[in-house]
Amino acid sequence: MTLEVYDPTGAVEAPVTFAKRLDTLAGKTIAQVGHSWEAHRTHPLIRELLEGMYPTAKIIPHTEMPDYTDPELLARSAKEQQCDAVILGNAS
Amino acid sequence: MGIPTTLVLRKGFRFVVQNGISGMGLPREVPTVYEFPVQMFLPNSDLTPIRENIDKIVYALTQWQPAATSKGTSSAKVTIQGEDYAQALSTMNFLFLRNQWSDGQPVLPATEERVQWILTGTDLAPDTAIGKIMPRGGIATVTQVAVALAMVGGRPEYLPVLIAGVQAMVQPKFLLRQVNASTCPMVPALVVNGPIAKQIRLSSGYGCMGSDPNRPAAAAIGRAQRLLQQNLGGAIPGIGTMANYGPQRAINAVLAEDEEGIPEGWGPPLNVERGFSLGSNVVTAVQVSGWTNVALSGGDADVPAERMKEYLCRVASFMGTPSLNNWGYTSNTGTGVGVTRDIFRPFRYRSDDPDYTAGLVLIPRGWAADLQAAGYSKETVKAFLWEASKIPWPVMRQVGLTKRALVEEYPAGQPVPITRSPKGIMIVVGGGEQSGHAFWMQPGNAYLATSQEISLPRNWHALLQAAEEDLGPLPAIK
Repeated sequence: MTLEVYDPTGAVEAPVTFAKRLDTLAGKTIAQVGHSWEAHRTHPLIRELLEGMYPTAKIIPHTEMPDYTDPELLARSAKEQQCDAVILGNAS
Repeated sequence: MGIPTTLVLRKGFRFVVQNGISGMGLPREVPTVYEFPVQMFLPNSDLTPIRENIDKIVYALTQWQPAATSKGTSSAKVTIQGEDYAQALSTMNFLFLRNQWSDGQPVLPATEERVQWILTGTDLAPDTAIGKIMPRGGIATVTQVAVALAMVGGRPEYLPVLIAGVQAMVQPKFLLRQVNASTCPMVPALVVNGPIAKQIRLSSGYGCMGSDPNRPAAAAIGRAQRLLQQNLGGAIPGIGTMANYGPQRAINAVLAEDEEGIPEGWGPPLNVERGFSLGSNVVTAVQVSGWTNVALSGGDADVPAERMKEYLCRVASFMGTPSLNNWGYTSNTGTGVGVTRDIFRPFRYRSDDPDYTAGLVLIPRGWAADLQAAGYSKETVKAFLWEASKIPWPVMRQVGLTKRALVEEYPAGQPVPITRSPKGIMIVVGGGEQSGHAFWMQPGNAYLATSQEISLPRNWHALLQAAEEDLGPLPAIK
């Protein structure tokens, strides 16, 4: 007896590729995004550490960026502020 | 965005994030190399893991590379062997459990024959893409929807409702990615209005929140809907959905409004409130995270109108529970020390949206009639519940929710309503003739309801005739 049944997981499209990584964070603009789960403590510490490692980098605090709950607004804002990279949090 | 991004990832959420990334059309990978401990994201936590792993964040933005640059899978079939049908069926169920394709309960084989039978329930082409089930982004074609229905023993006449339910769920404002992935245990409840409910034996009466041998439609549609959330959306417990409790997973919550039970002149049914015409077949999707029965018997007052007030206050007392789950003005996520109320201003759009829903109250037809006799219309019931469910400011402070109340509208010290206006309270008549109980279904952390008109196939009456032959006449139980 042979049963031929459908795979219930269907199809997934993956037409997009990940953005190319940066050669360095020096001199780059990096945005922090996300207000949740102690973001007011974790993001500033990350910012402080990155600024120590890359004094020429510009870190945009999460309080100056839209939240990830509105991805289109976030993408638009990141481009308007000429962000080179984004650190998304918090505790996703 | 085309901008390299990394995440401050919480341990245990890698698969959830993978699903989310997959849903955005990227390969199913996460651009991080470190998962931070859960405890780090709690108040007064030790942030040493950030100090010790800042290089991992730098690495993720500068050196991390995905294993694949593109990925695509297509719907396929699986062959199962067995000495006889029973053994093949058993083998298939074991395989489906191993692959995380079933819901833990036995499933029927979605064979070509069974799926084609289910597909007679729609005039849509089988390869029509209804939408992506987020966060994983599995494509809900008409065939995949029929496959889910076939697996749970569904029938063709259920397909139009399930398709409309999926159409409602995939609307962006329904936030399905959040419903399916969150730690908040949300169920996308489907409320059906219109003659189709009776035609397919969808319960609006006794036991309408559960399975019913006389009205098997709800359990099949809800279970198939859940399989789609799992198999296309990636909502596997502890892997793709981090819902702590996940109640009602077995059959979700699919019910019809008891339109015949709405007292004349009391108020419009839900589909009309949602902008559709009276008598239209409509599915309304509203996510709920919990529910409770509210007993409506006994009371102090002898005067009926006063007794109704007591009962409404009982319902309102549940509605006014100061839980984050009914706190939809703002962000869904945790706050912290140092966060001001102003920070939640960007999120106010949710309560401004006309689809904003602070929860669903089910009222049995018997109580609806009692309320009307006491002078309450549907509109005045909403107004009463809205007023009576306001949360006193000291309670807000006690439970730590004062930062979530919008600064301008709900100044400190004043009672805070659970939604901007009474319109945000959804009331549906259902649950049978007896008037002794109501049912409160609180929202989760997504708050916007969506509705979709149901499209019937040209062969609709033939399908109903076939159902009558298969299932026999419907018992005359409300």
